[in-house]
Amino acid sequence: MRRWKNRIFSGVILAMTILTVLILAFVIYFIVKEALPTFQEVKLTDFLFGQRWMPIAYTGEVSFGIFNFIMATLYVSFVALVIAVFVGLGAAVFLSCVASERMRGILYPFVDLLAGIPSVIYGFIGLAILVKYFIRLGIPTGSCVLAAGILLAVMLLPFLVSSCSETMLKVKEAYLPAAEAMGISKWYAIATIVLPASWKNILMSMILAIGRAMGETMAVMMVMGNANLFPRLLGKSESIASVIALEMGTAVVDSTHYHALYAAGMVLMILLFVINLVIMFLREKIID
Amino acid sequence: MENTLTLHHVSASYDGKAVLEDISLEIPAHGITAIIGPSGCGKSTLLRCMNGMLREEKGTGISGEILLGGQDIQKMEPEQLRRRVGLVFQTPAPFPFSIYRNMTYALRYYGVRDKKELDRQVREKLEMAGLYEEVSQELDKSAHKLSGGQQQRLCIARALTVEPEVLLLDEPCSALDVKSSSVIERMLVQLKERYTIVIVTHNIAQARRISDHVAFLFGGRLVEFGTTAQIFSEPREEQTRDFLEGIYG
Ligand SMILES: Nc1ncnc2c1ncn2[C@@H]1O[C@H](COP(=O)(O)OP(=O)(O)OP(=O)(O)O)[C@@H](O)[C@H]1O
Ligand SMILES: [Mg+2]
Repeated sequence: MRRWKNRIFSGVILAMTILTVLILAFVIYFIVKEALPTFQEVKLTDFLFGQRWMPIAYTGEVSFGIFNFIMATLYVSFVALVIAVFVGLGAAVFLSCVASERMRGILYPFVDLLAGIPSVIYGFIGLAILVKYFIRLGIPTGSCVLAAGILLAVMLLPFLVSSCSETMLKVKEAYLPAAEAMGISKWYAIATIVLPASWKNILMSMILAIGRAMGETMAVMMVMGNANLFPRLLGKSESIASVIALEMGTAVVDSTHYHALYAAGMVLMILLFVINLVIMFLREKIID
Repeated sequence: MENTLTLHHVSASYDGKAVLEDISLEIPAHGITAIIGPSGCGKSTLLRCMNGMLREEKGTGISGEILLGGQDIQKMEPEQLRRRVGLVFQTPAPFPFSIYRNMTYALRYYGVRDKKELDRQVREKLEMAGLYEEVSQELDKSAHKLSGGQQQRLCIARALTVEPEVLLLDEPCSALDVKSSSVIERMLVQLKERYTIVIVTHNIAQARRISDHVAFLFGGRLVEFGTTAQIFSEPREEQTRDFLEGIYG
């Protein structure tokens, strides 16, 4: 009886694992299948490095170049990550090393709550507050890459903060008393022991965060202006995810436009994959 | 005999709950004083009073007076006090660096930059802890790759780098085997010429082997303090005798 239960259990687990892998394989297959026809019409280099995106021939020729979208995606993710890492590390250090047990108990749920807010709401807040500020600062419509970066950073924060502060707390509890027992000041010990000892974990969190940042659509779309321009910090731009979300609904099925949007999605996927690989490789290089 | 640490009517509490009550004690210099007593009687708390760490924790209350070489430790800068009174914890916690950096960490903090001086100190203190021969070829190795006993000796050597006058040890051998323990015991006996040592131990035989004086703590009170010979051969108090006979475990 026991053995049977075990067998059934491991069978179910195995089936679920296979299902997960199959779904992933199917998604990749589907995207690639829908993306490939693009390249019968458009040259790969034109697609990747072209700056003109004119999917429907209103005036002049159609053209499918997603270079600006790629750059915008990378740029906004980078801006968001830089902001989020700085603020997040600060918050994590505070939560793990400064806040008392009680304060942590009160603040942690807030951080988690931040993670539960839907991205549409973030976008809304971005529109209502951030964009207004940027207008006051003299940016014509207020929509810009920086606004999207800031918004995205806020969305990345909860995850970064909670995962970093957890590691830091462990490290701090292990080493800080020994340092303090030698009369070493707390901040010196935090800077020289706690931060270096947690950086592996910080890097790991950053990898996961970058994936989230590059794929985030709604909030970014709402505040970045969505104009096909090369990204500048205070200028409008449009990310790959935004293009897909904005145009998929109106693209005629099986048209080049439709396939090109899939191809853009594929590029986004490959981009993420490559970034993950590079960071993983770097991590192993540096650690050993 | 000269006294380095003197406690006058020291009481301590956590969140209003008394843990130590009215402890008066004179710790003789250049000797090993063992603090024994059942679990939870306040031994670790007493050590943390002595180097001022308890005072900085939230929710703790301390009263009474602790003198270090005649000076009230309340009035000393915490950093200054900790340099003079070192503390080694029960579980060895070498920093996640190399052995060498563990040993130079505090020295650099206190401004020693000269490479020769650093090397000399590292060697001297590792020798004192009886660790130098084992690790001299691999000072760049991560301290976490040492065995438990080696890590504990490294932590003791590290505590010595700031040249404390008093070294407090909280059950330094509780996680170690007999052989590592005896290495540490031998080391402590050698160290007492230069330092005043206070060791908390659960191992009565160990206290008997290495200490010169014994303080028996029970329920937050100092029941008896005397020379090791006196405590073990003719304890004055009933409770001490019971404890030594293993009644409280
Ligand atoms: N951080 C703390 N907060 C509240 N109470 C504490 C704290 N640390 C210790 N105590 C309490 O103080 C009392 C004495 O603790 P202490 O750690 O000094 O005992 P000990 O003699 O070292 O015991 P052991 O031999 O098990 O290490 C215990 O009753 C314990 O519950
Ligand atoms: Mg203890």
